[in-house]
Amino acid sequence: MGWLRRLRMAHSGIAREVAWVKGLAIGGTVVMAAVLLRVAQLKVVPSPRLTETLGSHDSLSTEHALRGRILDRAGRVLAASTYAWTLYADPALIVRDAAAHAEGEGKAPPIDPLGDAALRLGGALGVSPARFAQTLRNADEKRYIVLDESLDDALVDRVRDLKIDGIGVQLRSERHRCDQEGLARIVGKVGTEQTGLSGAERSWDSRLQPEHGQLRFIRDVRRTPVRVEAGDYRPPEDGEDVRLTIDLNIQSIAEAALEKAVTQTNAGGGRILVVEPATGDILAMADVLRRRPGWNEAVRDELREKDPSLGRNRCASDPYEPGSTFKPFAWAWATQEGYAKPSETIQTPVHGPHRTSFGRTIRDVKYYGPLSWRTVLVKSLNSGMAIVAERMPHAQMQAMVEAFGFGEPVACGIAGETAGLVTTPKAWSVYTQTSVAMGHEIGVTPLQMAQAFGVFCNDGVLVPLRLEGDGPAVGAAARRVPRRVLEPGVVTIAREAMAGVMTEGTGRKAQSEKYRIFGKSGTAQLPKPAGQGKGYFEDRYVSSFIGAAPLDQPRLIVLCVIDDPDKKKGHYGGSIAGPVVRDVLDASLEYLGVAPDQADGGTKRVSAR
Amino acid sequence: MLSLLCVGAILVASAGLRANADTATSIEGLLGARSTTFAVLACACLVIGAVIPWERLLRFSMGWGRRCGGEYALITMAAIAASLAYVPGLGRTVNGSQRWVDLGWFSFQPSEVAKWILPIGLALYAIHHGREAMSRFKAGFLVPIALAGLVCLLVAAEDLGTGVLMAMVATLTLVASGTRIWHVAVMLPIGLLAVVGLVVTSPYRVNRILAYLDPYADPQGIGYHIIQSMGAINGGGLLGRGIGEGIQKYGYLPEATTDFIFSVAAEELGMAGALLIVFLFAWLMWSGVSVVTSAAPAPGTPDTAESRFLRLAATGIIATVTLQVMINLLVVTGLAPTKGIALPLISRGGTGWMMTALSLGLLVRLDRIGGRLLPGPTIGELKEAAEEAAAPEAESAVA
Repeated sequence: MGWLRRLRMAHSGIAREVAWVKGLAIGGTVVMAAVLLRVAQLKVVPSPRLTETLGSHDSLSTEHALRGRILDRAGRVLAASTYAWTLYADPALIVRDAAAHAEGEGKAPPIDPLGDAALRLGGALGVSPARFAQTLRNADEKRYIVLDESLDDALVDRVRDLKIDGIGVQLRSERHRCDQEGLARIVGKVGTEQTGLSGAERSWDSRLQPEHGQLRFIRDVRRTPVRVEAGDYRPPEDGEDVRLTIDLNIQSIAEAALEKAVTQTNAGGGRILVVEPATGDILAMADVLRRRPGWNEAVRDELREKDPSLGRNRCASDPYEPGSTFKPFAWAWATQEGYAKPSETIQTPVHGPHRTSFGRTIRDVKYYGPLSWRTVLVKSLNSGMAIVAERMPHAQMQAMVEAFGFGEPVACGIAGETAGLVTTPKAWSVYTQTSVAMGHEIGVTPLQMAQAFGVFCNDGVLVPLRLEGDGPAVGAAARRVPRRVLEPGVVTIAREAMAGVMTEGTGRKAQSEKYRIFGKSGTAQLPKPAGQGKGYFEDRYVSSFIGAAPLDQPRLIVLCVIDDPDKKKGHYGGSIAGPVVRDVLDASLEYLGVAPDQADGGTKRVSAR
Repeated sequence: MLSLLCVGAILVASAGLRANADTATSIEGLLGARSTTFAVLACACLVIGAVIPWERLLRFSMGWGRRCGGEYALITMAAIAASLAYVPGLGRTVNGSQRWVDLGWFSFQPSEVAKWILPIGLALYAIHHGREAMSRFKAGFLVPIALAGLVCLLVAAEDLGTGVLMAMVATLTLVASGTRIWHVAVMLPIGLLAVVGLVVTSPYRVNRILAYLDPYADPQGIGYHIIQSMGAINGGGLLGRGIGEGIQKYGYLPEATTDFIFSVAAEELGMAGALLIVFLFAWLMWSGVSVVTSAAPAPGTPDTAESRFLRLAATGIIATVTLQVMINLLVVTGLAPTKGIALPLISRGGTGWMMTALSLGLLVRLDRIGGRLLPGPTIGELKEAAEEAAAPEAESAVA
């Protein structure tokens, strides 16, 4: 206030001059301080509307990288990506640009700009422009039309040289898959955004995904790049390759054998699985579904009809009743737990069906009278299995089912895998007890079956299956560790009994001349599909066979399931699925270079050449 | 002032940096830049300004003024300069305003010239009429205000910002020289009315006011300048992006090298840059104040005409620079409506820098010789001397 008064008081004089000049400077200082405060405010706590309105002054550009390859165990490419070019057009922009161009040259706007563009494009690409003109004119209001997807680099340069606004080329990547029907469902499919939709493409998507390079640059108001800040560039990185356990050769062998068997028996479908027991590697996996009256009503896969790679993998998804192929598990468990000895005589019936203690009738194909416990397995006697099952507590049978890994998924990274169907302990009845012993009232997937059978090949240790060796698949549980299920002694006895199946039991038709196979056949009735009543078809079957070879050092397990074979061609697992297993074992072991171990067969075959 | 010029040269060079792949940035490039050349020229002007015997202008105008009135001559010069822009063939339209005069080999803004002449002319006028006369209504208020108002109006018609600035400086100079405040207060509504009239008659000025009140209403249109300027200040944070690293100057912020250079400085140099510029201006301002204050005679000692003339002119010059800085800073920080007013000595400019430097040279001159002027002639003695010198001529003319 003092200076103000002095200002007034100094009516005329030097003080007045000085006061005014000082007043000006004080005012200036106040304003400057206010400005500095404002600058600080703008820097530290700007109004959200300001930051919102300003937007960003940088742009992102992407440098493409390729999705990783899917390889088989030998490094053969099952699926890979390549770069490809898309030729696209924006008709509205073509028209606008042509008009602007004509205006710039002082001419009248062109009558048919789209036709002109098509003509130039056709000339550059050496194809008829009519197709382009047609597509451009029929575009309606669309601003993005794909004209061609198969340009090579030279043609891309020619298109660019045309410099037509509204016609451009765009880099994309394209996925190619090994063209083999069975592989389709293993490898799977990628979507338009190059992400895995099914199969291994989906299970290992995160590893296969490339890391596209990214360049963030600052642009000026005309969107011209100005500069790149440090750390704003990330180079592109191709996706990791994923090596599956599949062997392309064995896959072909298995597929061919299965296809042949399904056609010959006029079956509804079939499944085959080849596994290396020591590692749990799935070497081949295929399933066939045919269109056949009376069958498609029961099992259909509509997605597969649209695209083979989108269908479900029935080796993992569809449980089936294993029938007698399940007997070795119950047999070995009962032997190990001391409910029967291999040499012990079981009182199997002489004539007609066996009746259990609770009055259930158990039928056999043939009645032999009392036989040893070993022969019960070799001859696949339901009565013998039921008698021993009745000796076991229910908990023991349930423990067996759990120990062999049934009722829980194999979790090797195949999407859509199911856990099979196992009766809960609560619902477990005396009927269940005897049924499960002969492979009924239980649903298993081929994957579970082959994994459990590995116990007989690995001296009693269950080695979890895998489709890929290195890392866990998306959604799959952490890889489980191998666990002991049977004592080695019991395994030897069981293996010997299953070798007997081939020589003196139901597997005689599946005997190999080269390798000593051990295995078990199974024939189960086909359950009626929903809507056709309860229970099973009287005369329709699921025939299966599971076998491994060579006997002393099993290298491969092959499981073949034939769904609903034509009864006129036969229906027993041993005669329908058995030969498939033998053929695949023979060819695959030979391919792997495993020496034949059949006493004379191998040498006979060699000398015959 | 030298520091300000250096900062100005560097900032203009920096703000002028564009993504031009052909020109590499180098010290040589910076030294050879147009702004550097002008900065050197401006320094020369400062020296010249310090050497020019401005106080002689008073004696000269005394002799000359017998016939036509020196003070009127200067003010008329300012008016002529201001109206040059309207001369057909000379005036050049830039950004929709006739602010430039194109002499073919040289072009300049006449308002830049008028801006500096007017306060000197008014100071001369005040000395001629003496302190007593200045407190009277007609001599101290009506005549000078009318003259200054004419010049200001001529400028304001095309460049409202500069016109208002000049009017404020003129008023301040007159009040400091003895014009009664209430005279000015009476005049204020008329001046305001003139400003409002000029605003209302041109839509873009209305828009600028609207943009100031709510810049976000039309961020791509009328609010664009102010938003982009505030965005530049906001950008870079407290530490700044680094010199030359600013983003807003790439076409986002218009007039990045001129009116909005402070925003660019705040973006590139952060808070430090803003502080530096504001501090340098404050320093310049207070130095000016201290020059004027210390040149004033001690109480009781007689004042002299030459000293008083330089002090009044210096006051006008300080006011011009300070008000310009204040308006510019307020505008670019969004605290005042957009005005096309550059930041003196920092914003890119050729004639502007040189004129400012020349005028500031007067301050230096005052500082150097202020003490020696005091035991000098008063205005009465000066007038007598002038009459004596003119008498023989008059006699011979009669003869």
